[in-house]
Amino acid sequence: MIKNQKPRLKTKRVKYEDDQQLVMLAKKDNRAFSLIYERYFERIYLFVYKRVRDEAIAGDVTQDAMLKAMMALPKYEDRGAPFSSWLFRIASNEVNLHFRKAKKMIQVAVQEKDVQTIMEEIEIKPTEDEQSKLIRLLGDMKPAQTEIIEMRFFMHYSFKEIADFYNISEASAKMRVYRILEKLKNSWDKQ
Amino acid sequence: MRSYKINKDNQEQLPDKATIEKYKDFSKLSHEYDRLTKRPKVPLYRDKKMFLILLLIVLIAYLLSVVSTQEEPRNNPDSPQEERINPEGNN
Repeated sequence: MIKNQKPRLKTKRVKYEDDQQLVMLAKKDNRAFSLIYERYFERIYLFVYKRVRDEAIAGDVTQDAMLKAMMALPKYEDRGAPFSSWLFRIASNEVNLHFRKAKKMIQVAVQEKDVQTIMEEIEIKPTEDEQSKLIRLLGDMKPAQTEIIEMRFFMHYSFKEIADFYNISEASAKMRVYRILEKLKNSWDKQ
Repeated sequence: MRSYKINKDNQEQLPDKATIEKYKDFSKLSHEYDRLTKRPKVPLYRDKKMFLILLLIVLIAYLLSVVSTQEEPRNNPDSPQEERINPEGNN
């Protein structure tokens, strides 16, 4: 077990330093941003796709997010968090902006089993009626709250990945998720 | 604005690599970046539209200065116009 962990940590460290080198390069010459683009486009695209569930919109939003990242790169400061979490935050803001700009209601499809997982977490029997009620309640929540629920239950992010995204500790990420679930449970009980 | 709908088909389908590659275009991004950050290559005065606007501004400024210099003598108490107007009517 310990033998397996050591090389993984080393690879992560190498990747972190590698990213910082790419950032330094791109800060000096913006054409070097193509290296960052090549490395992260697919991951950002899938991240956006899982939230918008539309290939073309995901393409546009990813491109916009990458453009914003390229423009904001001179201001980027290494504060110890992975560079990728900075990029994902920009992409997430761009997704939220897309939903805010949309004049009509956009329906995002979520897997039934993921909804059932949330229901199990808040100890509700997952019948069909109850599922639609939960979906309605989720839609009424604030974007910042649904964002973390989406990441945990619909995108299947680990607490570590959520922690990296928000630049917080794993324990805080866990606490945030469970607080929101608690809120969800409270509004369920009120209805 | 968004709402959720439940997808009963429990097999999550993600776009394949070829689909993702279709949306990947660094040259477009770079072009957009240049458009937003770099100064236009044609100087302002060589831009036809901008030249006309600049000309109009200069013309308006000139006309205003001409009008204000013409109005100055009327406000001057020593001017002949002021002499003609006598409130007591002693002429």
